[in-house]
Amino acid sequence: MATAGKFNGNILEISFGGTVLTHALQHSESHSMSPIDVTTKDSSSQEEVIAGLRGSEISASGYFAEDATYGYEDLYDLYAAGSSVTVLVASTETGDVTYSYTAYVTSLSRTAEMDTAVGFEVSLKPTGTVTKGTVA
Amino acid sequence: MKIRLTKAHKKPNGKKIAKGTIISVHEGHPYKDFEVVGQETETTDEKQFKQIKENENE
Repeated sequence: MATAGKFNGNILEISFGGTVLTHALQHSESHSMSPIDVTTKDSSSQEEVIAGLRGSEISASGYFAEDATYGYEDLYDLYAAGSSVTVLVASTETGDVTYSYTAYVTSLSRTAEMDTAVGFEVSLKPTGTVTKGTVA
Repeated sequence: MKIRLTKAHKKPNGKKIAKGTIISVHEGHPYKDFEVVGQETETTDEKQFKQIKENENE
């Protein structure tokens, strides 16, 4: 049954090639469209636009672990090879809407601070269309 | 869903994931030998509903 009402972000997962990111802390998806200005002298001084390019961005962060099932090392391998990966953002509830992307790693960083768990951050740029689905 | 590997899995980079490892997966995962150990997570609403029902029965 699909999730009803507000829910905890813990159940919304990000997976790469079907495997959920290990030790994930957060992820975000953003979508934007660049409007094309078609304002003319006849526009009564009001901007007029038509729809232009649409694009998305994905980012995620987590704790680093050498033995992560899917983590920093796997993301680095994608980055180094210039390979795309299927990114699926889906909850753990049957019937909830999912968003699927084919994306490339555009930035990846790992940080080790004093008295802090080693962490990493990754950004990805999707290519092509975003596919909506539902959790089976 | 959560799966438990029934055989070790070799990742594309050569690293092995040991047999018995529990992994959270979604559609399109690469694992062939596994058993499902968990299907869904209860939402907060469902947990609260169960708790209310239990309290009513006490």
